[in-house]
Amino acid sequence: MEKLLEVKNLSKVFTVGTLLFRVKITAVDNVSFQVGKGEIFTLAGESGCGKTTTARMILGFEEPTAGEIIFEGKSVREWKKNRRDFLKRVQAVFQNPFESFNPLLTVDDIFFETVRNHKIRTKGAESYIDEILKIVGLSFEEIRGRYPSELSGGQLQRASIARALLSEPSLLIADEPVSMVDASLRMSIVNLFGELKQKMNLSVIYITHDLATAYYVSDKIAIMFKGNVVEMGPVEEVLTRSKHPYTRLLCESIPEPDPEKRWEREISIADTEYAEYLRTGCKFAGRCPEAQEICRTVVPPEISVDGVLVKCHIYGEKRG
Amino acid sequence: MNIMTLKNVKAFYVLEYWGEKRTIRAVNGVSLEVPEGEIFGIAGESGCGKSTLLKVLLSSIEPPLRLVEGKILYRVNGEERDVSSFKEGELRRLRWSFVSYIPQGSMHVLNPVKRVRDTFLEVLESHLKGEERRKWLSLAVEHLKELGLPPEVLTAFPHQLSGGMRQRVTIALATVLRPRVILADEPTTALDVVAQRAVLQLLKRIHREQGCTIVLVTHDMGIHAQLTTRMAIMYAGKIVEEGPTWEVFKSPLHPYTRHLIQSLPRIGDKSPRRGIPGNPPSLVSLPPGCAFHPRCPHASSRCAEEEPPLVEVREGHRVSCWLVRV
Repeated sequence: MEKLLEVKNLSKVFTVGTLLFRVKITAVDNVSFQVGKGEIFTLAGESGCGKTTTARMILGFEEPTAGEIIFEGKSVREWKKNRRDFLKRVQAVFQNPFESFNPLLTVDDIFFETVRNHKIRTKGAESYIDEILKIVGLSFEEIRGRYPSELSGGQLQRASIARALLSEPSLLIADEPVSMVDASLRMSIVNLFGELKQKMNLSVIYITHDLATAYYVSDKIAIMFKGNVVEMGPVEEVLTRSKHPYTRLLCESIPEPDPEKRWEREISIADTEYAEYLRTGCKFAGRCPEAQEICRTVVPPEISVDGVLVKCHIYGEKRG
Repeated sequence: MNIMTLKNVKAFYVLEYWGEKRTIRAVNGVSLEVPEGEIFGIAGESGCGKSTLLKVLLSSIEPPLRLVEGKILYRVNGEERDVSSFKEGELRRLRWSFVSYIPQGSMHVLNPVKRVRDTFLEVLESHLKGEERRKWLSLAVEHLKELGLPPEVLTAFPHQLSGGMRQRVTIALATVLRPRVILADEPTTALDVVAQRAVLQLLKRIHREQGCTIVLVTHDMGIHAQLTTRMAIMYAGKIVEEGPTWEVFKSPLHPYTRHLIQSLPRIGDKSPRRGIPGNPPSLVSLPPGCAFHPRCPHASSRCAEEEPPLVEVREGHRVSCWLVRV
């Protein structure tokens, strides 16, 4: 598959705390991955694992501390010179559609503004907008003269996807796009990503903590934990035959909608917000059921097992 | 024995804009019996009135919310009493000790500039006097230990704790006075799956050890399957189906319930799933007849005209749909 985006050894360090008490948090730690054309790539993990920071760096909202992002053969640093062209090719959809639209403008105004800003059409903008809205299952009539607050969450999230598609991007970054959407409408949005991939050969970076929808729609998945990619590969392999203990814990913790399959084992979680970031060795060692001495001292290497990248000592040679 | 009973409760938000009155029918005629000792789940989409129903159960009805019709009954010390007959201050004393509430989003519950211990003391102070208080703080420490939380969290500020830990502290706070009923409103939104599991396990443990009743509101059907023993599904301010969780999942009767369960994606199954076309109705202007009929694939002309009653189909399993015959 032709590659569209390549992320190489990307890192981001934040400093938190007051003047006297400062802690350096590595939010994204040496992350590398590739996204092919027409591929749905999922970044999954718990809150604070660095998935959103990674997306923000790709979009250029955040300056990486180290590493490189290459989009369509050019480094994002080079793209900086024609930021508008870059944003035409890469668009984003965020979690809360009510926050991503200006509440004082009507939705059709926002659409016209995007068309104008990107100089997409000078004539026939309305029929073009209608055409794009049809793809997401809306029509121009439904948004004409209406304010964001007058549409439902599901409709508005579709509208925000349509707005992102106006500039005919090749990459769509969707950050938790369904976590605010009602259960009965959620699947229609998730299905939409699959359709866009089929119809427009669009690549999607789908950021979520919901592994069930990730499994349903994506091709490749990277599981992140405290800034590291701990497991990455085809979604079928990673989620049904998980290798990293953290991935296994994640999959096991999805509340399965079947009263016959209830959890049995009790689990432990991190006490404080920062404790795990500051850990030496494997950051998951504190709650890993299979942790050994080496895990607490040495950072695990990235090992390829059955076409899946795993960052864990279990698959290394040094462990007995 | 029902610990809480609602009898045909209608609770509306009445708003006035520029002299124009708007009524939001959030709880529109709900009769509900919560048996003692159950983990009772309430499911439904956002804006279906499930959080308002929980406020009614807590009998925390403040303007613009109004109790238009119906009765709320509590069984306190073996005696069933109407909440409206309570004397001044009686309801306040029952909060935390008889019925407690775990709200959504733990960051808003714990005072950000106070240590967790001080928040605990505040709750204890409002219910206990003088000497007893000191005794209770040691009980609070004991309580945290019992729940598997490290006692150090008492000296921490809320922002220093992780999201999952914060929510568990909120739960510990809500259960320190050993209430008979715990009302939990989406206790795990904003948490990732692992922290969510830890929080739900804590709830389960409290249920087992204190023998209390839990009413759990969440939109996540997976959580209902994992935790609850009985459940009710709400749509547009009404209960459309209610029964033992096991039975609701095994043989859902209402088309809406059936759809909610079938649309859930599962790992290991890539078969296509569909959303329900259309949107949930606005609670200001409800459609005539069955509120679900505009989206229902099996709707007939009767559904658009007459409202189906909630009838018992099997023992303890009620449904409100014209298609289901008794």
